[in-house]
Amino acid sequence: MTQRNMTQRIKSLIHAYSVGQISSADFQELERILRIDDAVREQFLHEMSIRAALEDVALEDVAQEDVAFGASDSSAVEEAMGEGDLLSDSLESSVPRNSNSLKWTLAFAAIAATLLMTAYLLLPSGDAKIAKITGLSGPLQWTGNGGRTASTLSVGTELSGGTIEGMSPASWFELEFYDGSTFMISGTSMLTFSEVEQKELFLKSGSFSASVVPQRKPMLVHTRSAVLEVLGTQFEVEADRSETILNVSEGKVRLKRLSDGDSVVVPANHRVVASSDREMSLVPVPAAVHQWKSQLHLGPNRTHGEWSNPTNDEPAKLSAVPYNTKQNKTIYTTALKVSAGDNPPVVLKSNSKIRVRGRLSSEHLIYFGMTLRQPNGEFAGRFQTIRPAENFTAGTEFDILLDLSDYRLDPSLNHVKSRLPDEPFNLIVDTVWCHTLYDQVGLTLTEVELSTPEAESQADE
Amino acid sequence: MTKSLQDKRYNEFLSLFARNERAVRGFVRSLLPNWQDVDDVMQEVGLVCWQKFSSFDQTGSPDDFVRWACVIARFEVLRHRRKCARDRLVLSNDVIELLADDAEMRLTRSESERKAVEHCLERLQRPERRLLLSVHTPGDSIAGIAADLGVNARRLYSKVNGLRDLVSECVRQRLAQGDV
Repeated sequence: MTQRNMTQRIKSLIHAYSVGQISSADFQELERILRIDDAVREQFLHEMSIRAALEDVALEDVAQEDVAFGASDSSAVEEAMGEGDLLSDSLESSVPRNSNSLKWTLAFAAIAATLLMTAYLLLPSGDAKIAKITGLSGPLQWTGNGGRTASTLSVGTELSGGTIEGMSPASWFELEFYDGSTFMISGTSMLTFSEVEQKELFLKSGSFSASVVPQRKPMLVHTRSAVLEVLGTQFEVEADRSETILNVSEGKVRLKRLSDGDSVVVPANHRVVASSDREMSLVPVPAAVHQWKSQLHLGPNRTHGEWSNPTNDEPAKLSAVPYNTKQNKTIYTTALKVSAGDNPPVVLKSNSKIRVRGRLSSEHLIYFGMTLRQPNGEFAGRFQTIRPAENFTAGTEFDILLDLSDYRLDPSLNHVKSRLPDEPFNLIVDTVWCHTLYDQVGLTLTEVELSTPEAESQADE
Repeated sequence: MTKSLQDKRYNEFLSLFARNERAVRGFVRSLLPNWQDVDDVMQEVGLVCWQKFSSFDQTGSPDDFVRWACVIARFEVLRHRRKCARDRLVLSNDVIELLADDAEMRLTRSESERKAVEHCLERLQRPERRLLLSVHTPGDSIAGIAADLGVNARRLYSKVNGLRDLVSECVRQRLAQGDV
């Protein structure tokens, strides 16, 4: 490790320790270095001195605000008490009372006693929290250590190691480790995470993206076909049973293919596909395109729903499948991955249009939506539009053209609206999906197409 | 000792303790990461300092009280450590002793750093100053503030860390230039 990285690493350890968010392994490392290195002790004491000074100024600011609003100061108390000293003859009071900062010490001690009830430092060591939820939406299932499960999660919940699973295409989950590293899953993905000596993630299915601060020991990401070593970077991984696709936005990631141990370092703006039946070659992330068409006739790969073979009379189709919400309602949904695998990313333009062909057994309104992401893989929201039942005739194929300007942010994401783009333009389409609420109305899709007027003109020519 | 003499002695103690409490607190803070632990220990330090005040020689230099109180504070930190030995983030005895030795050697520097922090905070824009101080208010956290403001916690971490680095660098420069 270079000197600069070492200095940064020590700074990171001291910071994590000072806010009580240091892992056991990092704490042991910090203690070891403090024991042997007097320069590190000086750095440690300097940082703690700065923090103590900031806390003192913060307390004084609070005290001054109270004085401004008429809270009692020592002279007012003295007046109210009449003659005599502020000070009691009793020495049971362990702290002199005519000092503002000490007065606030007592006040904050009372507050802290309550805060400590929920402070994670009181948790038994076997349930050590390692990360905090920073965003979520849609149905999710978390299974913690010891097999405990929870489907009711909320932003701010701190988690120990475990497995998070998105139960529908509309699911999204973001987690932040205490050192600031984050990862995100969307759709029907399943990811196991832990941090003992180092961070380890296991992507069982689906995809996730991560932004990782520099690590002392590399973060390991396991898939069924590869192992990734991450030192500090931004990347996205997609994996199924037979292949792992890695896109790196920043930094570098080492990927090792499990079938033969072959490995490659993937730099920024490059991708690699690791599977046992093809050569593992490094390629630049392809340039974005603005059109895409589903290919259900090729199979159910990267779809969500019940896929049916094409027949002489009918094309291949994807039927909606149910999932239950927390409110015990059923949503029937079907989805297709768009910018996935080694295909180029599909980016929406302001004049993009979405064409959907399918069928309903009964007339019903349909939600048409898209899950979007930023070029670096960060979740960029779900946008949707609703078409009323009158637009569809039961038992007849529908062919509907949707305008991007009709799409709005999914209201279930209002709690994180400030973090997300206002409009879907210039964002990468991760998934397109359709669903109906509560009743089984036989929704099936046969084709979905994204295009722009320019692309259509070129095709006509 | 007569009551008036006792009162006089107590007032002298209060004056010394109040004047130097911040320095002693800074010493304790350097050994304990949790501000609640710091408060608990400081309460004990105040009590023990008063109980042992008769042994303190007031004829020495003004710094003598701080050094004397820090010896008591070191003992109280170690005592507190024994009570909390099973907690996750408690430094070992030997590491606390090493830090305490170094912290006592740099008491004057710590006081200079504190003054430099006050100066450097004045150089921040008002909103930045408020933000940085808000996350250092005991009982608050970046995650909590981010949730209240509806902003990305990670960005807030970065912003606050950046501000703290600015202040830290400003402090180093002032100390290097001898401006405190």
